Amino acid sequence: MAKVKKDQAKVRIRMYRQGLGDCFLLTFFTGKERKEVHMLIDCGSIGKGETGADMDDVIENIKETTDNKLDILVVTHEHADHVSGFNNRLEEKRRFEAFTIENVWLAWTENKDFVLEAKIPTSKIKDDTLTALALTAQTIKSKTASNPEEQRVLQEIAAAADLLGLGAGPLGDDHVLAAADPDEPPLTVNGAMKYASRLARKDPEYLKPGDMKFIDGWRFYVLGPPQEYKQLKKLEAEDELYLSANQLASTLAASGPFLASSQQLDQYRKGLDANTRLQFDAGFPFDARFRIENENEDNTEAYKHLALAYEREDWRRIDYDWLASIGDLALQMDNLTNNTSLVLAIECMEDGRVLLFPGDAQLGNWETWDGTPANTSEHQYPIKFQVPKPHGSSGELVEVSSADLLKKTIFYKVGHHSSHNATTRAGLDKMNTDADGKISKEQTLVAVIPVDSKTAAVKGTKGWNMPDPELYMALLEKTKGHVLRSDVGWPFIKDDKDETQKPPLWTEPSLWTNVKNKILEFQDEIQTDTKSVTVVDEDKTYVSKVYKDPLEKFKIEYRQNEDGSINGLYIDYFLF
Amino acid sequence: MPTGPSKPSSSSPPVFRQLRGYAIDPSLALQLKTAPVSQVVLKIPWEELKPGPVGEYLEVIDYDPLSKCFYDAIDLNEPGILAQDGLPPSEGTPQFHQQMVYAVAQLTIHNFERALGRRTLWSPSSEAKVQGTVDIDGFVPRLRIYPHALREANAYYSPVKKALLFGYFQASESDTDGEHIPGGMVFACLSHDIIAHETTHALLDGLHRRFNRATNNDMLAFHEAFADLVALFQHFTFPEILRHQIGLTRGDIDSQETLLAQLAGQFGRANGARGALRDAIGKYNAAEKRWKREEPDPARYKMESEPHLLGSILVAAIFDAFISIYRRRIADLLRLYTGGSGVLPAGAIHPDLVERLSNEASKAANHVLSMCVRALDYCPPIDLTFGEYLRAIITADVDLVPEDDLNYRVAFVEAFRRRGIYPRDLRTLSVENLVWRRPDVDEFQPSAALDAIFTGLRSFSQKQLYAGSREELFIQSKYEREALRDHLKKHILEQHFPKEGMSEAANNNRAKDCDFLGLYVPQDENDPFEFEVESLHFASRTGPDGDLLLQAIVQIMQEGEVEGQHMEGGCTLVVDLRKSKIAYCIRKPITSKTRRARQAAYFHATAGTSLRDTYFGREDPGDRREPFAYLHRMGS
Repeated sequence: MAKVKKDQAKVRIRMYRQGLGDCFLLTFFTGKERKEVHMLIDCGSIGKGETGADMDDVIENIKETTDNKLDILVVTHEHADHVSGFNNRLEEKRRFEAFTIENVWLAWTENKDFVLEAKIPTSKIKDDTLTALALTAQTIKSKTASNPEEQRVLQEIAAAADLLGLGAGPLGDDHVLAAADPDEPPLTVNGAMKYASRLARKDPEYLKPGDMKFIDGWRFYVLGPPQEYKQLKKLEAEDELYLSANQLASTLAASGPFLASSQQLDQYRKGLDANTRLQFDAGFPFDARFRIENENEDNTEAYKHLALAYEREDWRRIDYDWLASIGDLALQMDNLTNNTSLVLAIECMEDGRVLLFPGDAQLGNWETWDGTPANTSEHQYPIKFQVPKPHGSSGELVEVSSADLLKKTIFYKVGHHSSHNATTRAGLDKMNTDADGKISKEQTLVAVIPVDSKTAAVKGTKGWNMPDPELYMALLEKTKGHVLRSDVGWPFIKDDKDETQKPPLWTEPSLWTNVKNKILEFQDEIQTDTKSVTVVDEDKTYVSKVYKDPLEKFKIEYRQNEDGSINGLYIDYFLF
Repeated sequence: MPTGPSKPSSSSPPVFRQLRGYAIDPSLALQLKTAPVSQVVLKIPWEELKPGPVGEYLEVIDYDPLSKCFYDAIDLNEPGILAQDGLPPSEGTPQFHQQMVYAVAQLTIHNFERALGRRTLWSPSSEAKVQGTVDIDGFVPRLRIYPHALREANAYYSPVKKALLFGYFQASESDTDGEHIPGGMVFACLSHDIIAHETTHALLDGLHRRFNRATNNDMLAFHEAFADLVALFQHFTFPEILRHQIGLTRGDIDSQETLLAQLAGQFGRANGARGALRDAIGKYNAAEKRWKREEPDPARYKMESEPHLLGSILVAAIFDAFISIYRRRIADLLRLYTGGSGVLPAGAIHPDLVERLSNEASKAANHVLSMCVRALDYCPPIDLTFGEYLRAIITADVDLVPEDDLNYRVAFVEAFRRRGIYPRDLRTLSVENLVWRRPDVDEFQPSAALDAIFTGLRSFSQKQLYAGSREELFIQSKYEREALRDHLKKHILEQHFPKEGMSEAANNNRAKDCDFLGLYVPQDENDPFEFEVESLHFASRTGPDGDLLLQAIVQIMQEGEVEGQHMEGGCTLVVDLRKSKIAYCIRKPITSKTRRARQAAYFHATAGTSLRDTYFGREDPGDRREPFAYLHRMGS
């Protein structure tokens, strides 16, 4: 067996363990001199339960590893779990300013001047209503309920606020402190994104599907986000009508601040400019003369009378029922931003193998490049690229489709922390397949999931179910057990009682039993190929684990505590 | 408002209160074709009203949380309003909206009660309490109506709040029909169909409060379908519209688009869709750009899972039955009119024929609706399927109308069969087979003692007959239910755990009434044995031949954990008070293995792992507190 040396690797992919969020450092060893090219994809977290690595330490490690120089910074999309590390509020937190950053790559949707389909400005898609929504939800969720049903609605609002907060509002996490100066606005997702986009010496590059970028020996194909609104907003498989959510969005955008305030109509209207007032007034069903409201001298008696009848039975009040579809709305907004994820397929030009980084792209984004057959839009999917023919005479081009790239994918960064609908069946099926569509025998596909199941479990009212059981099963099946999670590491089950790998929300026993059996099916083989070395580091003893792929195509390194739990700032994947 | 001492009245109170309203919805007034029938005068049985309007069954409270204001309550007794049949229809006056919701909701209640044959109560609420009067704890005298509660294209019945919430919204900008200004306001509370639909949800909940528990695919769909049916058949009670549409279609009310068979036209179109929200018999075909009759497809029932679409299959089946009955009723008229050929000549038909056809249509609609409403008494208390509903319709009809000379029942069976709706374990689909099994041919038989316990309800039925108010009905029923439960419990336990001294053979011979009733009795005598008599009604109906049917309808409910799964079950008993016998017992025992498996499979299939579940957690589909709000948002 030929000895695999670390320095022969073509690329090292470092998955940091900073919690629920993405942070990947790719180091390409290029050319004969093996010149290091560093690429950082996202840096964010919305809390850590299991992983436990501190964001400061993570950024410090990036600094050491790259010697303060990033060739490429990619920010896939504007969500807290991908951008919170780009903190510009506190002097000592502005760690990225110590870096020399050559290029910043963003999705075309971040370019606020861009207009989609000649109608919808991208700024409208993104932060317009979102900020208003998040703030309204924040205000309303703190109101007191007058009956249990209302309590339920308020809880839903709180959950929605959590979700909306991913894309807007203040970043209030343990590692991102509030602004030192109380007058200074707090760090927002929006602000972090803007800050990140200006970190390079030159203007950021806005990439769209069909674009290609190069470094020595590597080609970067841009697959998403799609340039079609229909695909951007697509969330679930069935084309559901999100009518009420849309109506709620316009209601909240127009009257949210009024409803959240304690002001009377007249008073509030006076504070609006003429245009806003016109829009605001249009939402009201009747002329103002019909209104009977509190503290209006003209109709105090009538008000008292009506209010008495309304308030007599607390349990029948309807103060917040109109907000009940806020959950759908939040989902829709969240999805829209996820679908603006910059999707990169990174190809090793020598052998055509592909590393896939889809950000948090969801169904609508995937469909435009995963080769889903039934796509009847005017746009041509899957996306096609013209690349020089390998070993061909100069100037000869061949067509490569995004679906072809999936077939060569041997490393997959699982989208959206392995939630439902962020990996399509069609896409996963295509990965690492041979000409017959069967799983390739040349190399084993590795799927990595940046997730912190414990943190996800305390989000919203009932927790976020990450990873999704069905998808997790499919990944284990497809990769023959080679699924790496940033929170618990390599799939390994010590004994029957070992539940370290079980996500807390999987309360239904059968879900866990199925996954456990699947892990057990493959783990012996994986364990045989894993070597342990005991390391003493600052008075603590760790076990350094190295998994060597029998086909000698890749290896994986990570640190483990003596009890078997995973440790350290990161997990490394080396491609040979 | 009248002041001072009132003079003794020289006249008896009026029979009706006449109130003007939009016939179907405000959009009719904007089209030349329908403008003549766009307004109707609704005749509501007279009742004393307070401003709101607040009456015996309903209270309208016009609070608009999104505008942070109230709208003043209309006083329908004001002379100016009383003298001109209420306010004239107007979209811009909230007081007219109050009048319209009251009128249509009250009319729906009236029609429903007439078909049911008794007064109805709203489903009780644990929150409803009046201080110092324990007797009426839980009694909800009035359904509350909020005409302007939401700012979205939605309206729903809230079982928790015992309230109807109506929304309003700005019409879509893409509307090109010119029925309303694009971006103009559309109000759910001005649509006859939506009001009738939501009111029916509340009425059905009052009779069967567990029908909003989604324990199978059909359950929520049934609620929707039933509400649609009541709204639909109410169209046939408006003579102006009926005559107009019969004239227009020359009596052919199923072969072309008609207002009679559509629901919520304005709403559907204002949302940007081309056709009505729901259409019982056909729909607009986008490819051919015309309305098309829908062909029944027996495979659809098994494949459909979305409640509105599934419900529409049931609506279509019953509407089909109605059409067959109507056609049968008018066949002789057409022959007379055409000199025997039965084929109408081209052109308009004679107004007299229109009048006669309208009468037949209205009569047939009334009969079909009555059959559907009566059947509710013959439904299991939970987990109903469409097939079982068919059995209930047939059984109820066989009891009341022994001789089916116009073949109504065959029309129903055929319509259901054409849509693939069959009851589960029936081998053949014939009227005789569909009738619920009577105890003498059933798997289990009641003991004589059990028959006696239920025959004891005779005195209760007397009291119910003469109860002065709905409140009194409620109190009587409440105490009777408790007494009946205790009586039954004692009887079943005595039977189940016999005292010593009885021979083994005698023990084995004892009838097990718990099996008959589908109740689970714990093995250990010391374990609690719980069940509730959830509802108790007295029904008195007269058949077409003058036969009087006196029945007690009893719903018994039991809940419990069975092999790790929460199950609800029990039975509906139809007791023939004249024959002193239990006529039918329609069981859904909690111990049924097949039902448990079906329910688990259904929960599993619907709970799914949607993105919503990822972020907001799973919700047991049987336990949504606002099932209709959710349903209406997702569906339409």
